[in-house]
Amino acid sequence: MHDVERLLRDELGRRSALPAPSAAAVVTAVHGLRRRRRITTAALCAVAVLATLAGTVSVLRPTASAPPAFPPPVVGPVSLTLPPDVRFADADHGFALARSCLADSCQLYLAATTDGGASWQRHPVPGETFPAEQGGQVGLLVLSATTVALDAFDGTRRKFTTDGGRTWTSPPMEPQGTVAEIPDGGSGEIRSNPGQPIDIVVLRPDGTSALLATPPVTRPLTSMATHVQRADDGSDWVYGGDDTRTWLWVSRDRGRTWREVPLPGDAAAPGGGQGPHLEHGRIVYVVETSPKRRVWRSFDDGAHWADLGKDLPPDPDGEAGLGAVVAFDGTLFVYEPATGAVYRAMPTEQRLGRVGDVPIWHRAGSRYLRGAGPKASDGPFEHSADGLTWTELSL
Amino acid sequence: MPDHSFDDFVHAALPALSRYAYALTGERAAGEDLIQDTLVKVAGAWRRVHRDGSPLAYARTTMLNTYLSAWRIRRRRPASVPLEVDWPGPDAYGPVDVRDQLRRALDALPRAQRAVLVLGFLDDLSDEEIAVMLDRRPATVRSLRHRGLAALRRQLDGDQVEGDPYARR
Repeated sequence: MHDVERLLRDELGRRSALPAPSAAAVVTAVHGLRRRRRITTAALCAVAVLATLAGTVSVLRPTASAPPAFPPPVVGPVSLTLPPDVRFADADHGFALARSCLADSCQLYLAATTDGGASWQRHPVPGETFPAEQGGQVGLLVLSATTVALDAFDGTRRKFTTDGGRTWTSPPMEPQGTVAEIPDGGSGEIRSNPGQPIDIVVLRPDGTSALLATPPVTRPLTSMATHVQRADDGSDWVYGGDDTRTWLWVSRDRGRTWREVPLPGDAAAPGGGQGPHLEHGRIVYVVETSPKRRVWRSFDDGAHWADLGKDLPPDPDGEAGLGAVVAFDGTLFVYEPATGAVYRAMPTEQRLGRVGDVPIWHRAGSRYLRGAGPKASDGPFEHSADGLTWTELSL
Repeated sequence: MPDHSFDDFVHAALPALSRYAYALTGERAAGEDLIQDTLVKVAGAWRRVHRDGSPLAYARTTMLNTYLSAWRIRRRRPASVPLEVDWPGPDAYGPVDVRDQLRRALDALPRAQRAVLVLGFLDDLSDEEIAVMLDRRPATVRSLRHRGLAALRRQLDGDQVEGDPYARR
C-alpha cells in the first residue's frame, strides 16, 4: 500500500519547481496575442452592444425595482456554513447547514424553515463537531419537507432525521437487499464499480438503503454525478462516461426501466464537458463552450436537439466559459462568468438573447439562491421563489 | 505615459503562476501555454483587476478556469506512456516506477479532480478556499478530492499487485 498523499505532494512539488519562463518573452507574447484578438473582437462587439441594449432595458426594469421581501433577521451565534449548503424541498420548506464555533471547535447545525425562509429553527447535529479550519465533513441531502440525510464525504457515516432536525438516527450506509424503484421521498446514489457496470444505492424515506434492482445497464464507467438526479417532473437521470464516450440515461418510472438519451454535438465525446442541465425533466439543455459555443435543447429525451446559441458572441478558444441555470418554467439562462453577461431563452424561443447583466442565481431545490456580494460566491446570500423578490438568508 | 504596471505584474507574478501551471499540466510546454492564455485574459481586465488590488488572486482563479475549460485542447496533446520495465534484478528503480505510475494516474484524472488535488496538496488550501476559487460547493470539492485520491490509490496499488513484476518476488 502506497502513501498516496505523500507521493502526490512530492510529485506536485517536483512539477511546480520547474524554472519559470522568461518574463520578457511572456510579456511580448501576451501583448502580441492581445493585439491579434482585439481586431477580431472589435467587429463582434459592435453587434453585441446593439443586442445588449434592447435586452437589458426589458429585463432589468422589474428586477431593479423589486424590494427585498423581508428585513434580515437577527444573526445569532449559529451561522451559515460558507459557501452555503442550502436546499428547499418545496417553496416553504428548506434546510441549510450551519455551524457554531467556540475557539477552534465547531458544532454542526441543521437550520430548517417552514415559512419560505422568513424564519429558521436551528438544531445541533449530534456527534458532528469539527475543527474550525476544516469545515463540515458532510453533505446535505434533502428528501422531503421533514426528512434530511447528512452523508459523510468519506462514505463512513450517515445522520438521518425525519422531523426536520429535532431528532437524529445513524442508519447504516451499506445497502441491504434490493428495491424495485426509487420511491417518492427517496434518493439514488450512483456507485461506480471498477471494471463493472454501475450500481444505484437507493436511500429510502425511512433511512434504510438497498440496491436498485434495475440500474441502467452500462459499460464499466465513471459516474460524473454522485447522485441520480430527480428532475422537477419526477424523472430520474444518470450521467456518466468512460474513456471512449459519455452517456446519459433517463427513467420515467422511478428507476424500473432506463432509456439512453442521445447527446448532441460533442457532448457524447469522452470527458463530456459540462454536464447536461436536467432540472426541468421534460426540457434538457446541453451547453458546449469548445470548440464552438453551442447551447442545445431537447423536448423529447434527446431524439431531436436544437442549437439556441447561434447568436452568442464567439469564443474560438473556449476559454471564457459559460454557466447555465434552468428556471422552474424551463427557461434557460446562460451567463459568461468573466463578463457577467446573461442570455435567456424561454421554452417558446428558438434562440438565446442577451438580457443584460442581472445577477445570476442557482437552483437550491425548489427556490433560487444567489450571492448578493461583489461576486456570485460572496454573501450575503438571498433566496427567492420567483427570481424577482429576494429574501436574505440569515439565521 | 504608457502604463507598465501589467508588465511589472508579470515579472513579479510569473514564478507563482508558473508553479501552478506546471503542477496543473505536468508539462513545461503546456504549462507555458496556460500561463500565456491566463495572462492574455488578465491583461484584458487589467484596469479593473489592478484597481481592485488583488491581481495575483485574480490571475490564479483565471488560470484555474482556463485550465478547467480547455480540456478538449489538452486532449489532443500526446498522452503519457508507461515506463517500460523489462530488465531483471533487484528493484532499485522502484521509486522511479511508482513516480511514473503516479504521474500517469495524475494525468488521467478528470481536470476538476486534478485541480482540487493541486490546490489542496500544493498550497494546503482548505476546501472552502478551493470551493471559492473553483466556484463550486465545498461538498463538491470534498467529493472531487475523495474521488481523485481514490483513483490514484487504485492505480498505484493495482499496478503494484498486478502490473509490477517485482511485486511478486
